[in-house]
Amino acid sequence: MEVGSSIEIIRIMNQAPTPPNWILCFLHWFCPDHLLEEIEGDLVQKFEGDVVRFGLKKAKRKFVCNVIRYFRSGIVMRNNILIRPQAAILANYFKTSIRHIGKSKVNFTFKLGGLTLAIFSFMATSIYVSYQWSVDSHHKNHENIYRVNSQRKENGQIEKYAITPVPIGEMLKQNIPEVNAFVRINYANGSYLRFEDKVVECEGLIEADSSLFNVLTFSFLRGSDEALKRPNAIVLTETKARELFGSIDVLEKIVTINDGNQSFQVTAVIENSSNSCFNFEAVIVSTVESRFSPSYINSPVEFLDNSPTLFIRFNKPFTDDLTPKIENMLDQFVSKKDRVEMGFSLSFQPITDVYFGPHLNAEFARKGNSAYVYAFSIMGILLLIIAGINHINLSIADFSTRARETGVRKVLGARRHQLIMHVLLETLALTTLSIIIALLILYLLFPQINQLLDPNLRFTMLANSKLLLILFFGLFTLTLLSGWFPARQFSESKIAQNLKSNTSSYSSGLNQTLLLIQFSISAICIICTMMAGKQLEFINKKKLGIDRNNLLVLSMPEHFTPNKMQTFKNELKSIAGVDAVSNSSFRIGGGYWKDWYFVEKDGDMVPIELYEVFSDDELFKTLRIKVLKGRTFRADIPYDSGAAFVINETAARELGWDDPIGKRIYTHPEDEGKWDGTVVGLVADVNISPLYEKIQPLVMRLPWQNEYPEYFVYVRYEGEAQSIIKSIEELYNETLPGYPLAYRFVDEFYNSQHRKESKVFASLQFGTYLIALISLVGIFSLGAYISIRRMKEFGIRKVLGATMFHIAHLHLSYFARLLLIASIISIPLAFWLVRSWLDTFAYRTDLTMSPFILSVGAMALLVIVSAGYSSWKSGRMNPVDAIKMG
Amino acid sequence: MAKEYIGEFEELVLIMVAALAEEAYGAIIAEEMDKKLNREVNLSAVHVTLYRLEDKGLINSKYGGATKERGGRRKRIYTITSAGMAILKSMQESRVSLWKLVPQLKLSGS
Repeated sequence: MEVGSSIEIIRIMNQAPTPPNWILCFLHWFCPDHLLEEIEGDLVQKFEGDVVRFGLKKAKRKFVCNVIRYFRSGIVMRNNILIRPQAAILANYFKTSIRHIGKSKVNFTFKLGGLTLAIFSFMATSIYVSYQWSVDSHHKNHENIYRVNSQRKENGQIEKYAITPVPIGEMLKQNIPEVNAFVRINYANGSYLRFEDKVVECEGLIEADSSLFNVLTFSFLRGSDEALKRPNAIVLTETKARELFGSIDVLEKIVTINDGNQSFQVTAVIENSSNSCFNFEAVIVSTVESRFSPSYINSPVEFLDNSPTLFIRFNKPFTDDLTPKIENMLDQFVSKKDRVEMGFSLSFQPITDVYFGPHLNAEFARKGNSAYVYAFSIMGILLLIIAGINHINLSIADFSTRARETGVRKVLGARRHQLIMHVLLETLALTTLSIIIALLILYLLFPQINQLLDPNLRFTMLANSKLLLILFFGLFTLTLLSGWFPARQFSESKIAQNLKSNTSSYSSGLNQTLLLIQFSISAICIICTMMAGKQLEFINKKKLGIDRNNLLVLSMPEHFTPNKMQTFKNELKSIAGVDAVSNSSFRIGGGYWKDWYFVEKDGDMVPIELYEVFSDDELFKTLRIKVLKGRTFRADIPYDSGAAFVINETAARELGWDDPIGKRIYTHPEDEGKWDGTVVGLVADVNISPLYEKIQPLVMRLPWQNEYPEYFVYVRYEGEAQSIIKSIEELYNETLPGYPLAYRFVDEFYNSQHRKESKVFASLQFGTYLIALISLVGIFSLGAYISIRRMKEFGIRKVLGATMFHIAHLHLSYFARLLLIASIISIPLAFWLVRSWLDTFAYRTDLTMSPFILSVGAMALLVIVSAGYSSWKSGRMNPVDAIKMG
Repeated sequence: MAKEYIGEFEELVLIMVAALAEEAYGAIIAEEMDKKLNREVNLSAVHVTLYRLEDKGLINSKYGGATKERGGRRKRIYTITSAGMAILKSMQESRVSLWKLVPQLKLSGS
């Protein structure tokens, strides 16, 4: 012990303090050799002086600083002298590479083509995906903005709504200091904007609080964010302004809405918000204020009537410690017990989550489909991986044929790092070339991509710093990986072996693993695409419940008296070609009113919330909705108005009625029997809304005698649509001068609902085919390579009596084994993926085995064809030639 | 004035090389400048300047003997060339001649 410590002291005393080693390594790395000794010496001398003057710690720090200061052009650039002789080597690399490309054109084309396709697809998907993810991130401090959602109990189940009762906004602002601002937004459907005698339809008219622009961010073309602070102000989007005025210099112009009773002054024009979940065409200030009442929560009608969409800006991101504060605030208005009973609570959804969030009730936001975006991201990455693997495999095969070149280089004194450099440089050049070609293709094909994926995408979006970083990183990894493996193989092989044989041996383990990954990915992709195709087909083939062809729907403005409607309907029917006309509140795309109903169940009357539709007696005939049981309304029975109800299949199922006919049902008991009667008919479900929505339980009834069911007029016609529309338009203008006719073909509407989906799907399908294609190219060229390598072996086998069949069997079994293992890996994975995707649909096809079997079968076939071809080629060769060669 | 122009810092380093005669190397030049001119200079700046002067042919260099104190690393000893001497002289002369143009009153007044 004693001895040890004294030795230690002596050691410390003898040994002069040394500067940190790592920084010296850094200096060695960048400093030119001929200057190193002097600079290092001077630095160490200074360090030694500093140790005496400032102590070891500070001296070390100073030393590091001093070394770093040497990292300057005046020193580093003096390294140049060393690089200059390499220029000749570089030129030689280039020359041999070009010569080699000339010799193996097919291989090169496959390599370049595969890589270019992959990079192109990767760039296109990155643009799409990053655009989708950036929805609503343009709002200033978007991390502090939340949409307030509410939930209430309906028929014993919690239902989530994207709306909240009117007073909640003000209550939050007053009671929670963290709330900076709030804005409530109401959507007013089907409105008209008028300027002098011009009228344009405006579907996206919203009413919002004047604080709209304090919470959300828009870019103003004219006017400022104070625009809504004035009474009777209206803010237009660029499109609407141009439609109405033909220009955007329209400040101070007077616009009227609908029948022209109220006039508004344009105070601002904003850019169309394409990249937001929240879309509108014109905003007016809402003036609704009301005090909180519990009926806003427990009455479905009042809840829906008095609940706007609410956005809130906090002064910091929402954290859980705000929850008790909000609970306390709610306690002041509704007791906790009542809230639990009504199932009422508020939740805060970040605005950037709205776009991909689940579809809530009463949601007007534009929704994205996160499943597709995920699918695209995964596909982009997979494509790159597949292309990378392919590139690695092809490069290994390619460089192996250049074994002699390597051998000669080694004999001539090429160092290992030089050989690696050669491979990496060649790969880098190839990648760069593919990037350039891919960019060019992307630029040329961009209009098609716009059409296919999203019309708001721009080529310039590629110049996004985050995106570039991802792109760069992806390509860098690809280059490094696809260069590294062949480089290692290339440089580690023995010189003698290199020189003797035309091809070098290489670890087939690596090739096998890579091929295995490639097979598995391809199989998964093919299975998923096939299943997705099956599901989409299933949905498209699903019965709509109506005949969507030759059907028009007219959106009617408000202020239409029942008498006028009756005349209008009668006159419509008199138009030649019009078969049937119906007037109802039946919204073709879904979204109905909801109310409490009392229904007979096991002898008791049970309250239940149902969606309701007011309709005349001709709805079922016009839409051709199938009547399954009983009858529909009859105009000749006056009692029907109020006492006859028709329900759809889903309602019957949810109510648990096997035979609904004759069951008692009533609503609004305060009207004392006005709406009290029985179910007279059961009709088929109508299912035309987007794929993910469930069919809602519907109850249909006639409007009260002198009430107007409003909203929609359906016209079933026969013959030439244009002339019929013209006649309808004339009639319409006579009945209601000053309103343009708003009509839609139902089948067109239906298609528009599904077109986007099918386009996106088509792109995904294209991606999958690409993956399969690239893998196939890989299998094909690897098969060819392996067969060349085994040519001699095959020759000997043939001499010893093997038939061509034996050789093909030998060759194919290599691939077949891999394919088998790949199937074992990929099938369970694909099964799990597909099942979790299908779970997002309300109606889904069965998960059958056929896509799994088919995809594996298809791949097996491809393998047999491509590998079989090469084995056939080698098997056919004269064995003498094969044995003689290389 | 010579055709080639050298900057202020270059001139200082060149003078130091001349002044230190056979003893001029990077670390000592920096140290001396610190001591004599009270000007803290960075070692890397001195080295870069020395190389530039050498490129211009104003100084020569050769390795000196190894000493124990620098971890056995040799010093590179710089000596001024006649071209360097000439440029220094011409700069000195031109400065003196310029200086003469300054009104002497001020000088005596200070």
